[in-house]
Amino acid sequence: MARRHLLGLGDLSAGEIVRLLDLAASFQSIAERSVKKVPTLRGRAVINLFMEASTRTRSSFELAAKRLSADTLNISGGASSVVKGETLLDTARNLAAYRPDIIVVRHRHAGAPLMLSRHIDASIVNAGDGAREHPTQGLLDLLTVRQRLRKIEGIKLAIIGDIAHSRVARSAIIGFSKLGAQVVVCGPSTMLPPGIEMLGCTRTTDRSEALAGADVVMMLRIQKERLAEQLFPTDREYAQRYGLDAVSLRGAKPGCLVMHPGPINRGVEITSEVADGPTSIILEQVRNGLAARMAVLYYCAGGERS
Amino acid sequence: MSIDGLRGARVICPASGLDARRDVALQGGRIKGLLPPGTLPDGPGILDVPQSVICPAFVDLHVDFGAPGAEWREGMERGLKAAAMGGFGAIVHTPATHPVNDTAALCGWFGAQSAAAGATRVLPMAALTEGRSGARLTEMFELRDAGAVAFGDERWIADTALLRRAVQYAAAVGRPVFERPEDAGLAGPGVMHEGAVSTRLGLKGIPAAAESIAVFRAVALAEQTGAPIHIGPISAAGSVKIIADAKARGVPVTASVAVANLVWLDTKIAEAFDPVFKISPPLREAADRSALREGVRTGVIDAVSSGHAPWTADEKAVEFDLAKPGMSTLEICLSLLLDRVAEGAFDLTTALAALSAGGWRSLRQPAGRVEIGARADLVVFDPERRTRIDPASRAGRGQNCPADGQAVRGEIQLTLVAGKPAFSTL
Repeated sequence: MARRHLLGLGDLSAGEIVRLLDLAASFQSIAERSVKKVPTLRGRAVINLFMEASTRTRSSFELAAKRLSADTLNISGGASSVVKGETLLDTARNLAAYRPDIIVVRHRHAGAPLMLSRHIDASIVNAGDGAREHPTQGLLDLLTVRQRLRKIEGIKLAIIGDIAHSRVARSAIIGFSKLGAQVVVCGPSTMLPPGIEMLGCTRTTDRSEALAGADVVMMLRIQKERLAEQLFPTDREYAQRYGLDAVSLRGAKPGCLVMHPGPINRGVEITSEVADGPTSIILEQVRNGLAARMAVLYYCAGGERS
Repeated sequence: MSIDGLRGARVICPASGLDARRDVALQGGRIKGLLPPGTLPDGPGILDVPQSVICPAFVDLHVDFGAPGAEWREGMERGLKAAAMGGFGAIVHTPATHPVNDTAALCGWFGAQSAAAGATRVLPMAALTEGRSGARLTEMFELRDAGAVAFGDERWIADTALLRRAVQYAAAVGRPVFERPEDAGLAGPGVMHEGAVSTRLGLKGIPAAAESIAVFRAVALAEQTGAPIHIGPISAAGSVKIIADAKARGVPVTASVAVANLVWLDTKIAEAFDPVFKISPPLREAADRSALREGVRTGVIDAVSSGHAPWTADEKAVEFDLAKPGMSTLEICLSLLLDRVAEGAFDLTTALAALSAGGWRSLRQPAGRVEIGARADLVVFDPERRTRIDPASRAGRGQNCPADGQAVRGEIQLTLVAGKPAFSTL
């Protein structure tokens, strides 16, 4: 039986993405019940191999697997033999000896989940590899917007922030453009990588141009390391020109949804007023992350064969 | 069995312009005669090779066997066997070894490695600065006397003033400076070409500007000092243009390209994130590859090197970011060029010149020639037969050959060094 992997939204057709969204939507109701568990993956094993720090994604995957009644095992990079010099491949091979059905991998090096899928006999789910893709984040972003706006096709999405280093941005550009949205990326030119348009978007260094008529705006976190690399001079100037506050948000469509993959730097890329405001769907994203990951685990474990 | 003659082959000597069928007679390690085909009488040491091409043995400007210091990668003995299998009569070994080749003692060691009769010759490149640290000049006269054919750090020297001094000093010593053009600051932690593909893959890129800046700096210094500088390996269209302009002005520079950059593009990495295609300088875009091929065709690029850098399977079976850069290419270098000849990028004589005469010119030494009285450093190959490449049959130890498991064009049949077979299937 050929293994099903989820390595990136770039590997899926629009139809496959829609099917995953529909599957995720069907899992959403479980969160509202008093017994939040279904026996779908009982007896199956899911290993979370997180070589990079993570709170929300890892707990999301762990809970998703448990709600499907799977057995879970969490391995984090700092606590594994990798600190003793064990290669990623050896770590994965050792874990694969337990015959897990699915290994969920987060890694700082792009291409790591692809490498594992070629060497390990288990389904590999990419929980974020370097700056390449974060497909489950892309799915939960699509799910959240689709539920609020009833569609993806034809909407305008503005993604503002450090696009160059963002796997969230890449998966979002790919996913939203495949489903027919108009995507624009915005940031200082030091943060807009060459050829990003080829993923399915336009680019601008002007915040108001990006926000004009936007149905959805997604803000990305500015990492402290980027300040050291001098991609921009100061947090202050970044916040002034590229941060999202109530004033700049007015340039978007009324009721424009505000998203953020988290964690947020209050006062830098987004103000508390907007992050906690009436059109912010940041916490909905987190809630939907659970359903999206349940759908992905179910799909990789062999569910929904077409 | 000694080889006394080769009959019926097409003899191509780029340096002298010869391209005709000849019988080649050998004696005492030299070419004794070039006769009309079929005139050499039969004898025990006479071989008939009517399907083959005979040309001067190849010389490779950029080779790294990991010796001394990292012999698990390949080592001198297996590396020289791989070189001979690839038709190379001589290779220039990088000074980037452990320890660095910056003393006469180690430099002499390199030369002694090919003392075995008939083995491919090792031509040591000695470091330009002590320890390749870019701070103090090496004792270049001593190193020259110990056999150094060129000086270079094979690494960015940040202090331009120091590089100028080094270039001036080396000129008086009588050896060219080899400059590997990559501005380390601009290249940063990049692992592949910076462009749409690196953006898509989420990998850090090395912009072509990192190379053009370094190429132009070397050109400016060669122009200002009048000292010969070899610039390579280059990988970008911008570099070809700068070198063409410099040569047109009479600046004493030569250039080389690694064979891989004539074959593959950065898109190859997108196929499977295969670390075999992580090389330095990196594979770039179609426009760059076209410019490099054109550069070889016109002679703006003097030499093609293998860029041979073997690594073990463990060193390559890791995440792309962490993999060591380099391919094992000595044994397939000619084949990769024959494919380009078949595609029409340049003709066979140009390819063979780039593998021999161009390299010697870059070293500022007389080219190997197929002519009476010359040393019998020759390679005999069948341009049409296909050779199957697999790790078990390759002489090299590296597990990073991109052609493993494939059948490639051309079969090297005999590599002679001073008339003795370094490699033979005949």
